[in-house]
Amino acid sequence: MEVVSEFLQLHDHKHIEILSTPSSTLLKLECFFYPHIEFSSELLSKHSLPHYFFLDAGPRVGRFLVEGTHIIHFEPCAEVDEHHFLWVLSHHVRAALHRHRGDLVLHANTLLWQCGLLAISGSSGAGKSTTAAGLIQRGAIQIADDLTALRAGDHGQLVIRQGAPQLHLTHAAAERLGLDRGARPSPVRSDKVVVPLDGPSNTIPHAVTEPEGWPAPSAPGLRDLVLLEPGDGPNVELSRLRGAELFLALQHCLYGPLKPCDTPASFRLQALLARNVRVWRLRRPQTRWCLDEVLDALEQALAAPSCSGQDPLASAEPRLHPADG
Amino acid sequence: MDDRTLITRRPDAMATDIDDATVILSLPSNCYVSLDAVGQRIWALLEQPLCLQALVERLQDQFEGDANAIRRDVEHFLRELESDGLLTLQAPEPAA
Repeated sequence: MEVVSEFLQLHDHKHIEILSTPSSTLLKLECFFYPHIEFSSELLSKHSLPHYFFLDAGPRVGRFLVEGTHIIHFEPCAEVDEHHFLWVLSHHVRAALHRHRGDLVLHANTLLWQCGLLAISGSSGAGKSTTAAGLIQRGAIQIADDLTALRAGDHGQLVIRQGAPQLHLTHAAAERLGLDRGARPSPVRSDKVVVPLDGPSNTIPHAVTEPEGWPAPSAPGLRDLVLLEPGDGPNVELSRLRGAELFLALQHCLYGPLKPCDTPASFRLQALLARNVRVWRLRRPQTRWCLDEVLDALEQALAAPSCSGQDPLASAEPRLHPADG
Repeated sequence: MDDRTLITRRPDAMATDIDDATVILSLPSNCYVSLDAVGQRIWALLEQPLCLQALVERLQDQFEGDANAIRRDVEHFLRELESDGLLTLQAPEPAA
């Protein structure tokens, strides 16, 4: 038995249960590791319906059908790779469940840094986790790795669900940052390792996972979102995005795919984010290691006005019109 | 397009102002549309249904330019928003 994420535990290779109290049950899993189970054509025919998400996760895992907000159907392949299976479950499948619940899901690492919440987004290989690891070494606290789920809090701020205490880093970054002790190979990327933040070899600051996963609705919200991109220039470039450019950049941060039925809820939360969160584009040279420059640029631009505990961005409601409810 | 064509925002169109832009979600075409300053003004004027003639007259009061050119540009813009599923253009009933 191995704990692989904040909400899943694998028991005896037979079924999956939920690591939470009944009142906060996140998943009602209806998947079993019996090889003879196959999706019926009737079940498969539902995949295009609203609030169904189908995923063929390949020959080492099997196929998933996420139904609504709580049910996951799983058709295993002949020999399931346990780590790969759990990775898919805690990423694509979990993202689909969150989307079906009306949460906004970003492809981003999130940290508590300088008394504010900072999300670092970008496509695979952009350097999200490496930047996060660098910030952790400068005092940040890890909140979520790779997948960040958000929902509206009491004051229009976007609160963030705590993720698993781990970081996916390239071998090179883990070694360079001295985080390779206790790391295990990534099940999906041969150039990456998974660094546990709560293992015996590491004492890396991370948020303690609460049973509910979600913080209180009055908790501080996301303050900054940084979109990491490879740049052509010789230097690190950080610029603040506004208006339509901001909204367009935000589309690159979403953990998709969004179906039309997911779009209204997503739009409301994107509007909240666009109005209440500072969004930045950070371009870094591709040809050299420049983590310290990236961190310096972030430290300088994103400096918090105060650490009084009051979230300055947790006040304004977005202006949505006309029929947004 | 007839002067009496009635222009109505679709009720499921959702919009938000972000800095100097307005971004609108079109559910029928599942896309986002961004409006510049003139587009924002037209969208705001259409908060209540308007006929084409009334819309063009109000824009002529607010923007300088040749009246025919304004009308031509507005018609083009409205047809784009219609094809994006953001509003409906209802032609007047033919005279009996």
